Amino acid sequence: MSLFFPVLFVSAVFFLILTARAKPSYTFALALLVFLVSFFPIVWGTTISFFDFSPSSIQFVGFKNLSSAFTDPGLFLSMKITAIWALLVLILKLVISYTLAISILSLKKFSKFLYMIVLTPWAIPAYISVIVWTALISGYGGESLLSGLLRMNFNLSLNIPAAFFWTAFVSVWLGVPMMTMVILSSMQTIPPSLKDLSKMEGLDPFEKAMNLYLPHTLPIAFPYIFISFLGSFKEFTVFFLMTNGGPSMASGFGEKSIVGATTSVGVFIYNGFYSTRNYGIVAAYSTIVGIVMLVLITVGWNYRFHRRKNLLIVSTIVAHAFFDLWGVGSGTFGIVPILFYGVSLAFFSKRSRDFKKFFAIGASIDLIYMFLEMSEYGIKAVSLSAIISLIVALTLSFEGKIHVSLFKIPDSFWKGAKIAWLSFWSITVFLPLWSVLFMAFSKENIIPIDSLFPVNITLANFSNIFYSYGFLNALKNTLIISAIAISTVFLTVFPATWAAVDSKKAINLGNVIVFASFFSGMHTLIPLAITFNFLGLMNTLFGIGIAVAVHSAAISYFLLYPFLSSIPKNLNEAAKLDGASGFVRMTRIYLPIAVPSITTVGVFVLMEAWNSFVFPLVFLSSQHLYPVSMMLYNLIGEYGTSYSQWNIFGAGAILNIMIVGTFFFISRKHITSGVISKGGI
Amino acid sequence: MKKLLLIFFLILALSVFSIASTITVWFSWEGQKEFQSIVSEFNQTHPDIQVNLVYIPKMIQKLRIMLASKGNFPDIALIRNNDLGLLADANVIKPVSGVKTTSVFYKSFLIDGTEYAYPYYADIQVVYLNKALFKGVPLPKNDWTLSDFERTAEALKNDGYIGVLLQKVSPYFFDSFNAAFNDGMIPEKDGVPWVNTSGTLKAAKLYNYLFNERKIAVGYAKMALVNAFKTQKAGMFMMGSFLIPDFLNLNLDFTVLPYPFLDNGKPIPPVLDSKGFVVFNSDPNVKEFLDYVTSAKMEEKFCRPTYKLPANKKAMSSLGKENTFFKVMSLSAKNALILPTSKVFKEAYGKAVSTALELYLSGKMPLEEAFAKAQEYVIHHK
Repeated sequence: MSLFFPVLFVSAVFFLILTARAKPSYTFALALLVFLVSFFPIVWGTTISFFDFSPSSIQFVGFKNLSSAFTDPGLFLSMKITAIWALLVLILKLVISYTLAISILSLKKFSKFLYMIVLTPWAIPAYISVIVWTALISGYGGESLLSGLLRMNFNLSLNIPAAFFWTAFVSVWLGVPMMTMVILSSMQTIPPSLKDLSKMEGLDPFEKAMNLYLPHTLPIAFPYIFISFLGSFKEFTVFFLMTNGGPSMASGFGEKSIVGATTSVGVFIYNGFYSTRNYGIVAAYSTIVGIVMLVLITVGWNYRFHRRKNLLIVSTIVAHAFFDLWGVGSGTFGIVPILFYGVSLAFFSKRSRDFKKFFAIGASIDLIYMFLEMSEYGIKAVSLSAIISLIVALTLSFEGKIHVSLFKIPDSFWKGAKIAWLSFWSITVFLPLWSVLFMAFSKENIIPIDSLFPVNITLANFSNIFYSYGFLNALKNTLIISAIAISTVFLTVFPATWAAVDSKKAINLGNVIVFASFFSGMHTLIPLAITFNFLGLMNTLFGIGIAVAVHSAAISYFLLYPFLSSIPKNLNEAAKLDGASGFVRMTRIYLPIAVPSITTVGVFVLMEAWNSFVFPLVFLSSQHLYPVSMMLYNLIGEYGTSYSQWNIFGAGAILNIMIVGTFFFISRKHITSGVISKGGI
Repeated sequence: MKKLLLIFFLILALSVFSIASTITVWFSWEGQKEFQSIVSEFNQTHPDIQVNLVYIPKMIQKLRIMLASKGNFPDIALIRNNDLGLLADANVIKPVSGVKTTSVFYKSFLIDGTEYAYPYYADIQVVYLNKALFKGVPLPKNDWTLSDFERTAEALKNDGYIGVLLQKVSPYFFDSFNAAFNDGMIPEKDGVPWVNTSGTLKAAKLYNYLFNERKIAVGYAKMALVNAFKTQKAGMFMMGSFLIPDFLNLNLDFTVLPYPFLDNGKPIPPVLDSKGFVVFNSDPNVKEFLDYVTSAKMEEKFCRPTYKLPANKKAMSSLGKENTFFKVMSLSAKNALILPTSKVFKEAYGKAVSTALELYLSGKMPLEEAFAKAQEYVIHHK
C-alpha cells in the first residue's frame, strides 16, 4: 500500500496538467473523475506489473512478469482467436446493420415501428439475453429448437465452429442496435440531391449501397465502427456465459496457460486472475494487451485524417511490423506485404491514386498467406497484421469507385428480399423475448425450453418477485444509481464537451477518455476498489453511480461532440463579441439546442446504469443496496455451481425489460433523431 | 410519573439500540430464505447483537477482489471448503476452536492441524433415479456395484431413454472416479496433485467406456442435464443432493441412491461439498451468533427444507433417520471424498483435469499425452 499513494499523487498531477489545462473550470470535474475511475487503475496496473504483488507481500521484479507474459504462447493464441473473432463480428455487424438501415430507410410505412424493433435488444440486459440465447442454441448437448430447424448440432462445449460462430452471432445481436442507429444517423448526412440523382439513374439497392450509402457513411461512422472492433477485442460476457472459453483445443493446452477455441483476451485475463495470487502477473498480461490496443488505436486514429493517408499507411506498416516481430503477425513473410505498403506510401506522396492498388495488393498477399497457413496450422496461423491491413484496405477501396451490378435484378426481388430480411430479423429479436416470457409464466423451473408454451401457466412468479425478493427496493436502488449517473454525466461531460468545441486544446481530455475506456476490465477493478476504499465510496450507491457515469463518458462525449461542433460557430462568436461569458454561451446558446442529443446521451447512460452488474457485484456489500441487476443475478446464483430459479428470474427479467422499454419508448423520438447531426459521430 | 416512566423506557430502549453491535454476514448458495428466517429469529432473541445479512452471488470472486484491494471483509462469510486455502494463506481468517461436528466435516476445514471454519452443511453427490422409467428395469439397491450401474444404464438405454446423465468434463464429478482408483483420495506428491497416475488414467478410461464406447452416459451443460431428468428423458442422473427439494416440489416420481461400489468392493467416494463459516473478526458476538446458527435446532431448521447434510452431529443423526433422501445422504457421507484445500488444487488442478478429459474424450489428444500436459500445467502453477 505504501506504493499506492505516491503513484496516485504523481499520476494525478500529471494527468490533470495534461488534460485539464485548457478551460479547467469546464474540464476539471470530468478529468478528475476519469482519472480516479479509469486512468489511475491503468497506471496502477502497469506499475504493479513490475512487482510480484500478492495480498500479503510486494517485491520489485523488474521486467520478469512482463517478459513472461510477452512470451506466453497462450497469450499469442488468445490474441489471434480474439482478432479473427472480432473481425467476424465486425463484418457480420456491418452487413446486418447496413442492410437493416437501408431497408428501414426505404420503407414508406412502419419504418419507425421496425426501427424500434431493431433497437429492442438494447433494452435487454446482456446477462439475460446471453443466457437465454445459450439455452436456445445449445439445448440438450447441441440439440435444440434452433438446431432442429437448421438440422445441425450446436454443442457449444465440443463443436469449435459452432462455438465460434454462435458467440459471434450473439455479440452481433447485442451490438446491432447501436450500430444501426449510428449508420442510420450518418445516412442523414447524405445530400438529398445525391439521393435524387441515384433515383434518376435507376440504381438498384445494391448499387445504391455500394455507391451512395457506403462511401458517404463509412468515413463518418468509421470511428464508431473502429471503437466497436476494439470493443469486440475486450469482449468478455458473451464468452464467459456461453462457452467459458471452450471448447478445448490441443494446441491451446500449454504449461503456463490453457486456451480454448473461444478464449478471448478478456477471458484469458479473467482466468489469469483465478489461477494466480500474484496480481503482478495478471497486471503484466493486461499491460501487454494494453500495448496491443494502443497499436490498434493508432491505426484507427489516423483514419480520421481523410487527406493525410500517409499517416494511416505508416501506422499500418508500424503495426504490421510490430505484430510480425512479436509473433502474432505474419512472421518474416510480413516483409512482402510491407514492401507493397511502402510502395503505396511512395505513390501517395507523389499524389498518385495508384497507392490504393498497391495497398490492396499488399492486403491480398497478407490474406492469401494467412489462409494458406491456416489450412496447414489452423487457428494458430491467424495473423493480426493481416487482419488490420485487410480492414484498412477494405475501407480505402470504397472511396471514389463506382460499383455496377453485373446482373439486372428486378425490383420485385429486392422488395421481397427486404420484407423477408426485416421479418427474419424481427423474429431473431423476439426469440429470446419469447424464451424469457415462457420462463416467467411457467410454474416449473425449466430451461432449456422445448415446447411453444409452458405446460403449467402461472402468475405466481410475478407476485413472488415482489413479495419474497424485494423487487421494489431493488428498483428504488436502480433508479438512484441511474439518477446519479445521468446527473454526473450531464454536469461533467456536457461542460467538458462544450469546452472542446470552444477551444481545440480542451479536446485532449476526450482523446484520453476514449484511450482509457479500452483498458478497463477485471484487472482495473482491483485498483479501482482500492481508490474507492480510500474515498469512502465502497458500498454506496453514489460510488456505483459515479463509476457507471465515468464508464459511459467515452460514448457520451463522442455522441455530444459532433452535435455541438455542428452548431454554427458564428452564434458563439457573436455572443463572445457581445461580452457573453463562457458559462452564459454554454447554458444559453448550446444547452437549449443540444437537448435532443443530451436526451439520447441520457437514455444511453440510463441503459448502462440499469444494466450495470459488475460494479454492484464488486463494490456493494449490503443487501438493501442491491439494484435490480444484482437481485436478478442472485436468482441464478453462482452460475454452474448452485441451483437457479429460472422462472422467478424470468418474471423479474420481464418486469425489468418492461420498465427499460417504457423509458425507451418515451424517448424514442430523441433516440431516432439525436445521435448524429451533420458533423457525424 | 407516567411521563417519567415513558421517558425512562425510551432512553433505555434507545441506549440498548445504540449499544447493539452489528455483525455482517456474507451468505451464498441455496437456502437464502431459510437462513434469513434464522437470522431474523436471532435478531429478535438477541437485541444486543444485530446481524446484517448480505447475499453474495459469487462468493469467491467477491472475496478475491477484497483480498486484492485490501477491502473490508465481513465478520463472517460462508465459503466452500476448497476456497479455504486462499483465505488462510492470506492470513485474513481466524482459527476457530470448540467446533462440535463429525470428523468428516472437521477434516474439510482443517489446514495443517488447524480448524479454520465452523462447518455448516454439505451437499453430497448421489445418483437420482427416475422411478417412472424403471418399469421393465429392476430398481437397484444401496449396495449396488459399478457393473449393476452399467447394466441398469444399458437397460434404460435399450428402453429408449438416456442411461445416465453426468457432467462429462467436470472435475467435480471426475474426482470421485479418480479417487476410487487411487485408494479413495486425490493423489498428491509434496502437496501437489498428481494427475497422471495409473489410477487417474483408469478413471479417464472408464469415462471413455461409459460415454464413447457403450454410450450409456450422456453429458450436457448443467441446466440441460437437470431439465433432461425432470422431463423424463433419462433414467439416472449423477448430481449433488441440492436438487432434491426442487424435484420434490415438482412431484417427480424419483428416488436417490449412493454412488455404486467398484466391483472389487471399494467405494466410488462422492464429493462432500461442504460449506462452513469463516471468521474474519473473532468477536465474542460472532461466536455467539455462530454457536446459535450451528446449534442442532437451527441446523435442522435450515437443512430440513433445503435437504442439506447438517454439520451438527445431533442434527445429522436426527435428520438422517427422517426419510430416504436423508438416509442415502448420510450413508454417502460415510464414504465421502474431501477435496484438498491447497492453493494449487483450487487454482490449477480443476482446469487442467477438465481440459485433459475434454481433449481425450473428444479424440483430440491421446490419453497419456493429455494427462501428462495436465500434470505439467499443475506443476507450473504449484
